[in-house]
Amino acid sequence: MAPLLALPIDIALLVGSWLVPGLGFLAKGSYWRAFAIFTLINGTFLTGMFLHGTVLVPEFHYTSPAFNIVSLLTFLGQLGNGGASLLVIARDQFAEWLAQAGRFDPANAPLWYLLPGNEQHALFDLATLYLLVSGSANYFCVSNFYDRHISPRRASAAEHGDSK
Amino acid sequence: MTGNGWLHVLSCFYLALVVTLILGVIEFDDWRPILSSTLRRWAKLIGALIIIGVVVQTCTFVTEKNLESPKKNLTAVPSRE
Repeated sequence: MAPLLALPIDIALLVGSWLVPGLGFLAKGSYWRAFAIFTLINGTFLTGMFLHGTVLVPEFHYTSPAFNIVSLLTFLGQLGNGGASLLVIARDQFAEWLAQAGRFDPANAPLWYLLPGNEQHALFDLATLYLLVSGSANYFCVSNFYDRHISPRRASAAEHGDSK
Repeated sequence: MTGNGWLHVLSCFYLALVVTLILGVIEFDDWRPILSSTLRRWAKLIGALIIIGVVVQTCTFVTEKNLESPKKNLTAVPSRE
């Protein structure tokens, strides 16, 4: 039985596709597909950011009153667009850390704090949905990249005339 | 507030288009099947969402109508006269 991940480069490309949508297809020479995936997924993510959305880190401890399974699943979905989500989380955590140290004033926010999220805004739930769709779509793309270029069964699928 | 409502409706169309287009892009290699599969899936998805919306709106109308009707007092003792 062939190994599911033959080479370290396969793992690197899978992780790269998760961090940057379309990166794996770009590395394999499928330029138009990589461009389409990158534009659609990050365009949707950016639209969600413009609608005052952000990636909220949920409460993970199930005994906490703040624990909510919907928030947890939303977070996991949003993490599908790995690079953008992690950048937004890092930005928010860094701003919170600076605010606790008394060095961050939201009224005079620096340039790196562009498009801040606002949980009180009327469009926050809609913005969350944009980020969720963006992340979930990238899970599809990473899975398809694995099926097309890494999976040991891809050769037999091609022999049977599969369009993949 | 009407603007927010329209934004939600347009977002529904846009997000459905994004999902179906991505599914088409990762499934096919040529633009023609991508376009046809995207339109087919988009129409199905929007159709299903419209049906769900109609059912929810109908349930809302029924609920509101029931709330408007006078409530019967089941605990009152009927008069003997």
